Amino acid sequence: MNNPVPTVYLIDDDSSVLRGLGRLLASAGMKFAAFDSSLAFLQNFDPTAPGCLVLDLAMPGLNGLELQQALAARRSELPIVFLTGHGDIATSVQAMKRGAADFLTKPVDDQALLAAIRDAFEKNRAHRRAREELAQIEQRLATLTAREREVLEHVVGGRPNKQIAAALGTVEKTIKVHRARVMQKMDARTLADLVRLAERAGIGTGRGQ
Amino acid sequence: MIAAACLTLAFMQLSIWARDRTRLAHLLFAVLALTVIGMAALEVQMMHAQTIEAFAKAQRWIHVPIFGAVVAMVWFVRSFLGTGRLWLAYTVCALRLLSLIVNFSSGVSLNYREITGLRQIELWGESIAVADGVFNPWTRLGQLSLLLLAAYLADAALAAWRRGDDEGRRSAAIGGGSLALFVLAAGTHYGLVLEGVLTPPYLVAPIFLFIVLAMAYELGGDVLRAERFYRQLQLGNAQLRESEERFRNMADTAPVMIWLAGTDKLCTFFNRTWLAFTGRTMNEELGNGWTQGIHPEDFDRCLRIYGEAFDARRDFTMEYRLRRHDGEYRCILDSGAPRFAAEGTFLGYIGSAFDATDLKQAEQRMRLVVEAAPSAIVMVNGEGRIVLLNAQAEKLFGYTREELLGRSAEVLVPESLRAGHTGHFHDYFQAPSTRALSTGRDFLARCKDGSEVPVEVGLNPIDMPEGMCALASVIDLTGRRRAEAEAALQRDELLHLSRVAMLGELSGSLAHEVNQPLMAILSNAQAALRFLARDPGNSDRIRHILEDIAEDDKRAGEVIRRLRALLMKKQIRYRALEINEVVLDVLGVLRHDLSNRGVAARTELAADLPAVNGDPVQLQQVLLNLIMNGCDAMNGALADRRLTLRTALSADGEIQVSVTDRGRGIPPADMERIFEPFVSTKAEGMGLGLSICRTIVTAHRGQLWAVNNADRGASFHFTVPAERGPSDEQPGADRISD
Repeated sequence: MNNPVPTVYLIDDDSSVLRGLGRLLASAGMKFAAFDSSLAFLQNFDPTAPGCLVLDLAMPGLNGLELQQALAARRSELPIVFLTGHGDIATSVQAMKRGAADFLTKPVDDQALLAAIRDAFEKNRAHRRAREELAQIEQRLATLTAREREVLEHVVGGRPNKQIAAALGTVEKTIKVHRARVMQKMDARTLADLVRLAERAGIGTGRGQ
Repeated sequence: MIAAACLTLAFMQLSIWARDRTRLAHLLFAVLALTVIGMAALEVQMMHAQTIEAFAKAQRWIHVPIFGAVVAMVWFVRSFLGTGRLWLAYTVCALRLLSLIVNFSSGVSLNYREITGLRQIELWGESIAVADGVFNPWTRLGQLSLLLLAAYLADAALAAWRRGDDEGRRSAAIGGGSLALFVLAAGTHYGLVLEGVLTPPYLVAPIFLFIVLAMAYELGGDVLRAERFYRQLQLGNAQLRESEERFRNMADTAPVMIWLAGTDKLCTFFNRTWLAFTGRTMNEELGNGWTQGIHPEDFDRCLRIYGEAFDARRDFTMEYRLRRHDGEYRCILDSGAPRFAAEGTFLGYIGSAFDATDLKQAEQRMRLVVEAAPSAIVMVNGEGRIVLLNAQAEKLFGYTREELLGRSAEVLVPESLRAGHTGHFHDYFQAPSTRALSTGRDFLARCKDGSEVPVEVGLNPIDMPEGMCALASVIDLTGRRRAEAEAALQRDELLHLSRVAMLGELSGSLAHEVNQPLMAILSNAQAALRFLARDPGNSDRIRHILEDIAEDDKRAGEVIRRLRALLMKKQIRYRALEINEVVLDVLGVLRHDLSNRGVAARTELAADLPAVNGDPVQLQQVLLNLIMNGCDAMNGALADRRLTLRTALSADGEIQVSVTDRGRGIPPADMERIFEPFVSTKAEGMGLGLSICRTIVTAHRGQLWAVNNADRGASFHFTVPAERGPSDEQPGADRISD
């Protein structure tokens, strides 16, 4: 899971297009899997596998947009590069709004396609990394006691210890102890570190106010 | 006694001749009578001669009156009977003349060469002298002349007998026949006396007296006849007066105006109708009085025609304006003809006239109507000559009226059609009827400048007084043809535009159809380049790629071909084609659109269908329309979006194509209305699709209709007749108009 090879999932009802695109990806040294329909892909869908989709917009059965929705419903992180036979603005806007990585018109040049795929990979990789980081932070947050959590929220809110102690009905010294424990549990060396981690986890940035 | 009788007769006849010099017969009779007197006198001298000399002298001189008598007789007969052979007449006269010459030049006389003595003989108590002497052979000449004379007279009498009526026959018998007998008798007697067979005296004169009497009887008959004729003439005059009265009565009651003119051009009579018309009296009109009523402008011309015709004794017809009793000038049609008496004497003119104003007005109206007719009108007589045409005809053909009148109608027919036209024309007058000459094919007319104009010709037979004529009304079709061509062009344009519009709706799918193979080609080609750069040795892989590229290229080409056929503005061309191929072609175009719309198209195509005769692009257009309509009808349906395309051979040999959807169906009220133009059940439909489809199918001699399915959706069916063979008539492009 740390460094798996990303896969390009090719989905097009046209077998010759599928074959041609496959060859192109192979020539670029990319790993790919080809499917001639959305359903075929969904049956083999692995939400954890890295990579991206190169998806034909117009297909019988589930079309490109419908598959995009289906994948979103399944919390897929795979970026989608749409391919379309004709530039339909309304469709492309809809696709992009729903988080499409790119929208390319057939016939697409190899440079553009490969670049789009690489961008999608990058996006996928970043996304995956962010998700892993958040999971780590939340794991650490889970180790905090209820009092420690309260102290964390006040600290991230930028209040001095004295105010926190007053708010929590205790003495400043106690707060200091909690604060040191929070710093330790959250693996934060500085206050700025702690604020960043808390923000990533969605704590403190206005939510507390 | 003889002399006295003859003298009386001679004077009578001479007096008749003197009064009427043309009566030559009477003169000749007088001459004959006088010669008989001469003969009688000389004969008396001969009978009473005391010396040979005296006898000889009298006998010599007696031949002079005989000559005269013969000549007179010959020409009397010719003049009186009008018959007799001329050569015989001349021969007789010549012989007699010769006898006379011989008489005075040889011997004592024609009869005696020499007289030897005289002797006295007793006759009827008187002593008369008889000569004895040598007979002169020349006497035979005289006898021959008399014989010929008798023959001449007999011949003339016979000819007159054969020719004549009763009167003529009697004249011939008495005049000619008796004369011949008497001449013969005289000649014979004279000859016998000379021969000494008979005793004298010479009885020439008495016999001639009989001749004279016979002739006198005849001529006297003539006088009697003249008298009778005179009486008849008097009776005739009375009758003539009566017939003139009748003529006047008739003329006065005649509905036409009648006039008479004498030989001096002056008018002598006008009937009551004329006088009632002019309101003037006979005396005012007589002579040149009637000319006062002629319109001043017509006066000179009218009198010129009258005078010229009169001098030439010709019939004439003239038209002039004559003042009526109410002062109005009316158009008069006046015809005159010379009158001649039975024997050919010119008597003057008779004429009739009538008021032709109304007739002229009717004629004028008719001419105006013909002139104002919107189509060109040409009237052709039985000989094929143009006898009438109007201004439109002048304009259409480019000829002036004068150039066409009297010419053969063939000048208006193009040379290429002339042979047929002459035949048609002949046939037409065999069975004239009202009909169109140019049924079916275009008929061309030839103009003066040689150009040919499409025309429609209607023929009407007209029974004119001068014979059967054909009235042809000719309509120039140039404008109509142009309008038709323009309409056809606009129709083609509309079909094309609706096709383009339909393909415009499909543009997304169609672009996809083309771009799919292009995508594959590009990917393959670029992949190949990369493979080559990395691993040039692997030719197998490259070969596969190139094969795919070629395949995809063909696919793209096929898509473009189909689109091109639909987008191109081609002339409609009917040909034999397989309807199943048309269906599959359309599905090829729509495949992507159908899948895009989630519509599953199914085909049930009958095998071994006969070919249809049609335009593939137009039939594709119909199918495109029906399929897209079917898809639209299923837009709202969530499932079971099925479209079935079916082809089948119907019972009556037509090929039926059906498009069945599973959509909303058609409200029964709209079942027929949907085929009308600009009727649409769709929000953004123009409403032309189905109306165009029906137009196309009708042009293919087929039918298009719709039915709702028993369970769900609707079915559209159309038929196209199967092609039966090359002889089958091609449906014309013009049929789209119905």
